[in-house]
Amino acid sequence: MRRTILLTAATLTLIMAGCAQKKIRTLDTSTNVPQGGTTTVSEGSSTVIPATGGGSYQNVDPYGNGTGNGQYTTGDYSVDTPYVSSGIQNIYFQTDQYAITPDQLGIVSHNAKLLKQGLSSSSKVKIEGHCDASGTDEYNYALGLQRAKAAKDALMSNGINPTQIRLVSMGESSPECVSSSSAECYAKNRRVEFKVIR
Amino acid sequence: MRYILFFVLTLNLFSFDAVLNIEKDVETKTTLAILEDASSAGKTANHSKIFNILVNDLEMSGHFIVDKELKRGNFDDPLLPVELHNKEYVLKYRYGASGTTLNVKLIRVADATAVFQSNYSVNAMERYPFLSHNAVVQINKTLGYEDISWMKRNIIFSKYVGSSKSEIWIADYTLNFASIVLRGGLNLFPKWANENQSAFYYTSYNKLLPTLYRVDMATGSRKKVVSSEGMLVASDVSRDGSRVLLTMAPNGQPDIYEMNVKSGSKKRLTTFTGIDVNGKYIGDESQIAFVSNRIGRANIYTKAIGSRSVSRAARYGNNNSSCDAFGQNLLYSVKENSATNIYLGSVNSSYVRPLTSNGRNSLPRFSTNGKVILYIKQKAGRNSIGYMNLATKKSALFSMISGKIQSIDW
Repeated sequence: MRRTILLTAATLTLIMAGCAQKKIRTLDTSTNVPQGGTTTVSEGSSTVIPATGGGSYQNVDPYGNGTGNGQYTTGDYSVDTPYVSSGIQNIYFQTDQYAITPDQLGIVSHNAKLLKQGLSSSSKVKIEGHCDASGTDEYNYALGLQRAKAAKDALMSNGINPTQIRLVSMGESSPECVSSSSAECYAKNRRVEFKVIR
Repeated sequence: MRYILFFVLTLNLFSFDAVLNIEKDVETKTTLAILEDASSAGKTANHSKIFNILVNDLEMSGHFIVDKELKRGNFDDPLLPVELHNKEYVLKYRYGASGTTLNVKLIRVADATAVFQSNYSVNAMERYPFLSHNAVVQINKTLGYEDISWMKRNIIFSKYVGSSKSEIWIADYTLNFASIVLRGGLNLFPKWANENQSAFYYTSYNKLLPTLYRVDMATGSRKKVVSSEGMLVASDVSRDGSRVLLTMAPNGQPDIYEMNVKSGSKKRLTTFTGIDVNGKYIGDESQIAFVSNRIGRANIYTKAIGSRSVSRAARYGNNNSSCDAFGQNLLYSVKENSATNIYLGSVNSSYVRPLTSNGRNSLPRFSTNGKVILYIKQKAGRNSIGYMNLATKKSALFSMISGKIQSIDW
């Protein structure tokens, strides 16, 4: 009997400890507020962070007065102005995909034929990969690049010299269709463009 | 009999909380009223705004119940109005006529003692929200609450303003202050270069080769870091600023690299032939979380730096294209039918919890202490920056006037 009582008491003690509320912070909530009238504030010293002395100010601004307003750099625009040769066409992709579908391969072959005729030894073909606006931009830039790479591989298999090809992904930065976020509009943005740089 | 008794009494002895299940009861919040100094009230257009910013900051901390009625009085008067006696504290403030200074005094009503007072200044009037943010951070600390220093940080973001055009901006977390820092062509993926936000990285897509630059905020000087064909992003920076996780594509193949800032040396961390992007340091920074399409669609994985072994980290969703990490905790966006939602998970447990429920939500970011998250919400053609305090469940949404946010850092 005595052992049972001791066991029960020990168990109850453990339960009380285990079920204790998890408190982040206990605030001093003393409520000794004088009733009626106004309360006189005494300045100073009873608790915690001491007041900043006198009229001195903490400057909480990490930047100078001239920070911002586009004053740092204005960016550097491209000195190579690419252009699209007459007859060169874009190719288009399925959602989230970068494989060139059979119906698009013919367009790549047609582009390769025109480029072989028109490319000089110093010219480059800039292949731009583009995406629709679904998904996050960093992933979209990679997806656009994979599309451009697939187009490069297809051009190479059609006889274009790889040293004359440059790849860049534009992600979702340059949509062909901006009128809506419909499936048809998004489909126009999932594309690769071929541009010649002289 | 005694064994049955023991068993019954110990049934609920051991319960464990899920990760981050820290909730603050309403009863433990501090009640507070705000009193504006009447002599300086209304001197500038910002005077009516700073009260709202103070209220918002105090509420966003999750530690205060704030009386939203603006009261005016004398900052230096030792008397407190009767109607404020039912509050625990009164916050008196004087926002100076120049619009660049703020005096605050926190009075404990119970014994009518000023437990805190301080004076703040900023260099330009447009940065006045930081007066409130800094004051509330210190008031919060004075009363012994968990640190909320995230509130006084600048956010940096890029936004598209036209085809192949973007701008990089800095702002306070409420967007009451916002200023362009860089414009001209296509400049993307800004990332703070260090803890004190004195410099940032960004990628210029204006020439044939994407190029990573580092900009010093004090001087405006810009230094080229590296170029890479195809794409180039600074995804994460180590806590000491000495290493950067890059997404690069030297041969048109997007992979994650780690760059030593001082030497410039780069180490390739992923080798999958598809897409590996969005690297984030986790834990003690000997591991990374990242986004990969290695099983067909975008998802979140982890690996130790230097190891070839990769583990799947996201326990929910099969189209998860962005992530952030803090310690062992993970934030990621999940595409679900017509919505994209943010989920909170852990790299070493099956814990997962949705944080949003509608609209298009992306680019989740942890605060520097991991207790508050930031994310971008697109709904009905509008961009907003959302915040959620994971500990106190407080949340807020701040709308952008124009432009689509491309990338953001905190």
